[in-house]
Parts: sequence; structure tokens; C-alpha cells
Amino acid sequence: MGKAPAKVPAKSPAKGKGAKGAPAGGKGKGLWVSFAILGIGAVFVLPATIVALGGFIPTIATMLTDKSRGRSMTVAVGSLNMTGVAYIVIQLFQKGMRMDYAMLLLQDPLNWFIMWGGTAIGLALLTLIPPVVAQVLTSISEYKLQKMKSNQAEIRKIWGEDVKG
Amino acid sequence: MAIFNERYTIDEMQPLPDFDTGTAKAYAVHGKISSSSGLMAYVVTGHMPTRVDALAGFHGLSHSSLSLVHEAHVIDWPLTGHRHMAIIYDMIKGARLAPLGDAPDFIHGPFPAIKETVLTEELIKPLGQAICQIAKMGLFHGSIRADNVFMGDGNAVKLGECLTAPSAYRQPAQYETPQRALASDIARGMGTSGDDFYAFGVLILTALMGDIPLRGLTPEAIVQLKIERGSYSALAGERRFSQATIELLRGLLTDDPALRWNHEDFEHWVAGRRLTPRQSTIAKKASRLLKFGNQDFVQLRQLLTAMSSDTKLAASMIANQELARWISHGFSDEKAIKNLDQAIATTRQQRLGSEEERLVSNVQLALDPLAPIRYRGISVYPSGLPALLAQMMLSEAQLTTIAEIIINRFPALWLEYQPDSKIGNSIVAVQLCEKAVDVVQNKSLGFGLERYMYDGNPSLPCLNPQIRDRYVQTPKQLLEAMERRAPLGGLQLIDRHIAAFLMAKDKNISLLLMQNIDQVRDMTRRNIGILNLYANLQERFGPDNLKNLAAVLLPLTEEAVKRFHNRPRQERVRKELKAAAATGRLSVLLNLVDDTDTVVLDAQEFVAAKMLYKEMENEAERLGEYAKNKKMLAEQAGQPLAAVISVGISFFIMLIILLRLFR
Repeated sequence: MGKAPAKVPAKSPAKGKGAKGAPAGGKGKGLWVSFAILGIGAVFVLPATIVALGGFIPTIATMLTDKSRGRSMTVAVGSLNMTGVAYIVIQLFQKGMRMDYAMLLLQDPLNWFIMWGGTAIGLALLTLIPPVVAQVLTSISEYKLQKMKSNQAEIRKIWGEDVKG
Repeated sequence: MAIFNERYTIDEMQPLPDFDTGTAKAYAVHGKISSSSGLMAYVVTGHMPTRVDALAGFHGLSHSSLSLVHEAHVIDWPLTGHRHMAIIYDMIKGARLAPLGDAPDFIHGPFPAIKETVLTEELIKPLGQAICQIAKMGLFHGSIRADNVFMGDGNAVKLGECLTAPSAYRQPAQYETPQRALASDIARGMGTSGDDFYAFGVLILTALMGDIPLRGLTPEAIVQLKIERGSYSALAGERRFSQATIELLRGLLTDDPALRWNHEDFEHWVAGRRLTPRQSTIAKKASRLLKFGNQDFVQLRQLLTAMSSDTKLAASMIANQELARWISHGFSDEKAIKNLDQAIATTRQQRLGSEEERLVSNVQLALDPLAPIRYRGISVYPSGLPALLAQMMLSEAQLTTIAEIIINRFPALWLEYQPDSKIGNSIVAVQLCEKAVDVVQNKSLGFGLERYMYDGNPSLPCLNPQIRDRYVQTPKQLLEAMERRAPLGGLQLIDRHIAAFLMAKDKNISLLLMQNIDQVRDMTRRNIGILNLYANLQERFGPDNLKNLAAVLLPLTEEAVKRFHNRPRQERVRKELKAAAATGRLSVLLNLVDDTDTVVLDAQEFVAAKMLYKEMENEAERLGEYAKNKKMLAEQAGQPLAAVISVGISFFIMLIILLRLFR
């Protein structure tokens, strides 16, 4: 069950519109659109672009190494990273989008902490939530399994061992 | 006291030993229906076939010299605790003409002879007229002999019973024609009125001589003498009688059945018309002797009779054409030569048994057609074969010879050689034998020699050892006997005797049912078959309550109950079976285990349950794998959830930032 989705993009990476590859491709496309907007912004708002480029380094790094299903790592890291970057970029806009202020912002470690701190929270969520979810699902499966075995025993009691076929 | 058909009471405390026969004992009878002379009953002592099937014919006879038979029934007999066939007769008044004796003569003697001067009036006329009446009704008495004739007061002579044993059983060889005397007494089968008149002739001689003629001789020696000299000369010897008596005796003792006196001849003689005295018809003699063993023979029938004593030598004599040359040169009998060739050809077509034995037997049949079938020491007429088989079954003798006689179709061959006058009497018996060729070869339950035996002996009780003493003659009696025997334990519900008996008596029992019972691999099918058989019999013949038999049949249902896969259903059926067994209704038992709808429903439900179980098995396997692979669960479910939460937090923070921005 878990193997098929991983295999589909591996076998046909070019077919982004494939049944199970579609969502991943769609999100990838969205990212590229984001990059395109940033590219255009780079022309008109160069200071903000420079700040954003610096701020999105963790997301870009994650995106390049992410092999998770549906690029959930990139989404988790990127969404919180984007929140931090957006906060700094908004400050830049409020100061008139000047290059010197952009440089000033980049020199302040607190701003880097704000921009990259979201990444850390995203990574923390990625580290903590999956084992908890796995444990919960395992428990549910084990409970179901027990119930299934009990039902089978009941069937054997009624129909005898021959019912096993 | 034994109640007979709720009309007579047979008094076991009042035996009448003077009237005992070799196969039955006589007792006094009290009853609502009485006759002027009183009643007596013959209680048959063994399990041999009787002739009660001929009772209706004899019941219709009315002659002062005949014991009037009333009816026959199976009774519970207090003296033995068993059931016996009992036949009610008018009481006989008088004493036996000759005392009852042992084999081979069966008549004890000497006894006071009757003078020729009074014999005609005292014995010949009344008894002869009685025998004429039997002959006119187309019946055969078969037991006309001196110990079965009773002389009463006032010259009242009475001929005794003839129904308690097979035809001509315990009839001395002297009283039988030279041909019939060759057969053992049990195997003589149905004779003709001519045979009765022959015995009447010997009876007259016995009465005149005060002893049985040729006393002490073996049956073989008696036959050889009769063949050699002719019956009259052999039996009468040098004794002199009046011309009328000689005429009568020569007429009655003529060896050629076509020339022997019949009832018309006898009535003419009684009326005083003198007939041409019959000369002894001695068989032709050859012009030269033929040596067989240590003996020289001039008569063909004597040689044929002697051949049975050394079949190996006889077969070589036939094979090397010595016999053919002797017949050809000695008798110039073309027909005999033709029959001999046919017998040799027939032997080649037969397959079962020793070829030498078959050859000799075929030649004897072809050249002495009136004689019985003689094969491997057995000498039997087709109509006597069933009774002989019954006797051999009872004595647990080896039966292969009987099977070979039937399968080699000796009875049909015997019939082929018979002159027309003899065919009518034996055709039914031969037809039965012909039908039995397949029956005997069929080894299935309900067939084989047992089936032929019950088909051929309508009065024979079922010989299953467990119920033999109950003298079972009908399916209903079989059920009653089984019910009575069941509490003693170890009841065998079916064997070859019970199966053959039922198949012979009840044409409604299907072959398929017997096949189900017969097969041994599928015990469920067999057991349901047995239950089906008894339930079917109970439904049709009763009685309604067979608790003991039901208790014996109950364990047999276990295999059938196990056919149901559903355990609660099994338990429910078991409980219901137990309750049904207590009621003694076998059909209820059968319906519980052989209800097709329930069996089909159970099978369908079982298939559905199997499929469900398989699905559960697959699901359980999947869940097991799922639960084992935590890493996969974390990746597939945990990481997307973390992403969703991240997006949610981001959205929340962005909302706060935007709210602060535009405040």
C-alpha cells in the first residue's frame, strides 16, 4: 500500500499528470509559479527579493532533498519558513523598500532567527508528529486485528475447523 | 397355548405323536371353528421351506380320504419360545399303515400286510379316488407313502398331510420314479400327478407286502434295479398277485411317464373296465457291453447313472468317442448321437467349473432327459433347486456348485431336452433359474444366491441367524423381529439374507437404495440408506412404534449429522433425533438427517462462511503487516499530518501579522 505511490513518480517522473503523481506535480508547479513571481519581483522589488532569497534558503534546501510523499516535508518546512520571511519582507515594505534597509535587516541575527525559526518549528513538527501518528494507527490496527481474530474464532466454533478451507 | 390367527388355540400340552411327520409335530387344536372330527395342527420344527403356497389348492379338495387342510399361520410357540409355521388340519382318526422310520427307507417295517382281497375296498379305491381328485385339480401331493396313510375304524383310510416340507421330501427312493429317485429328496421339486400315481402303486405294493419293497438297498441300487428290470419287476420281484392287481400295479408303475396310468385309467379300472396290461418298459440294451470302471453295461441309462461316480473316466470316455461309438453301434440311435454332439458343443460354451464335470453333466442331460441335473455330486430338478439351496444354506454348505449349475444354465438345457409332456410343470422353475443367471452373478446386496433362494421359496422364512427363530415371512414380521431382537445388543441391521429377503418380498424397495446400503466407502450414505430402508418399511407395514430399533438406528445417524457443518445445527438435530428415537418413528429420524433443504442450506451457508473467513484472514494479514510497519505509517500518515499542522500554524501566524498590519 505504501509502496505504490513511491514507485509511480520514480517510474515515470516526466508524467506529472499521472494518477497518483498529479498532486505532487501540482504542488511543484505551484512552487515554480511562486519562483516566477519572485523572479518578477526581483526586477521591481530587488531589496525584498534579496531578503526573501536569504530567508527561503532552508525551504529551497528541503525542496531539493525532499523525497517524502506529496513533498510534505517541503510543505511543513516551507509554510512556516514563508511566515517568517513574510514578516521581515512586510517590515521592508513599510520602510519603503530601500536596499540599505534591506541590508540592515539582513545584518540583524534576530531577523534571520525569525525567518529560519519557522523552519525549525516545521522540522520539529515533522520529527514529533509522525511517530505519534504511527503509534496511534498501530494501536488501532492491533485492536482491529484482535477483533478480527475473535470473529474468526467464533466462525470456527460455529462451522468447525473445515471453514478455514 | 398358542393362539392361531385369533381363531384357534394350539394346545402344546396335548401332543399327538402318532401323527408327527419328519418335519413337523402334531398337536391338538381347540377353536371357534371346529369340524366333526376335531382339529389338529402340524407345527413345523425347522426352517426348511414348506408348501403352504399350495394350501389354497388343497383347501378346495373335499374327499373322505383326504385330510382337510384349513389354514397356515406363523405362531408363537411356548415350547421353544420361537415362532413356527403351523398348519391346521382336520383331526385324523386312525393309525399309520406303516410306522414312521428313518432314512433311507423312512418306513419302519415289517408291519401287518393287508390281504389282497380286502385291499381294493379298504385302500385302493378310496385312496385312489382321493389321488384322482388331487390330479384333477392339477395338484401334486408328493407324500404318498405307507407311513403317511392312516387306517381308521370302519375302513376309513386317510392320506396324510403334504405341506410341512418341500415336495417329496423324506419320500423313499422306492416311491419315486427311477428318474426322480436319482435326485436327493430335498431336490426333487414339483412332480406331476403321474408321479403321485407311481407312488400310489408303490404304496399298494407296500401294503400287500407288509414292508417297503427293496428294504435296505441304497437309493442308487434301487434306481439301477428299476432301470435294469423296470419298476414293477424290480419292486414286486417274484410276488404273485391277482390279474386285476397286476394290471393296476403295472399301469401305475410304468416307467414311461407318457404311458403311466392317470386318473382316467384308474377310474376305468375301478369301474371294472379291463385295460390292456402294461408290460414293463425296460430300457433298450446294447448289442455289446461297455466297460466303465469295473462294471460292464448294456443299458445306456445305467451307464449314465454310473458315470456320476467317476466323472474323470466318464469324461475321457466321452472325449475319445468311445461312448459315441457304443451308442452308434449298440443302439443305432441317431437322435442320441445328435444329442451327444450337442452336449459336447454346449460344454465348450460354458465357462464356469471343471470342464470334465460339465461335459459329463451335459451328456447325462442329453441322453437321459427325464433324469435330474447331475453335477458335481448334486442331483437336482430345476424346481427342487431353491429348496436344495435353502437346505445347503441352513447347513452352511459350500454353494459354488449351485451357482455353477445356475450360471452354466443347466436348468434351461434340461428343459430343452424334455419331451413336451414334461415341460409345463417345470417351465416356471426354469424361467426363474434363467432370471437367476444374472442375479446369482451379481454380488451386490440384495442379489446373489440368497436372492434366488427367496425368489424360489416363497414360504421360506428369512434365514438371517439373528431372527431365524422368529420365522419371518413378511417385511412386517421382519420389522417386528428386529424390534424384538434389538434390546439384546449387537443387532446386525442388514446382511445378504435380509437384503435378498426384502428384495424378493417387497418390489417397492429400489435398487438405488440397496446400492447406497451396499457401498462401504461412504458410511453416511450407507447409514442413511439403512435408516431409509427401515423407515420406508415402517411407513408401509407398521408398527408405528419401533423404539428398540430406533435406539439401534440412532447411532447410525451420527455420520449423517456430521454432514451438517453448522455445529449448533448439529446439536439441535442430535437433540431432535434423540427425542424422535424415543417415539419409535423411524421416518422422523430419517427426515431429520436427510432433509435435502436443510442439507443444501447448510452447504450454502458453509460456503458463505468459508468465503467470509477467507476475507477476514486476508484483512487480518493486512492489518498485521500494517501494524508491523511503523516507519511506513509515520511517512504515509504522520508526515502529511505534520505538513497540514505546519500550514495551519502558518496560516494562523499570517493572520495575526496581517491583522496587526492593518490595525
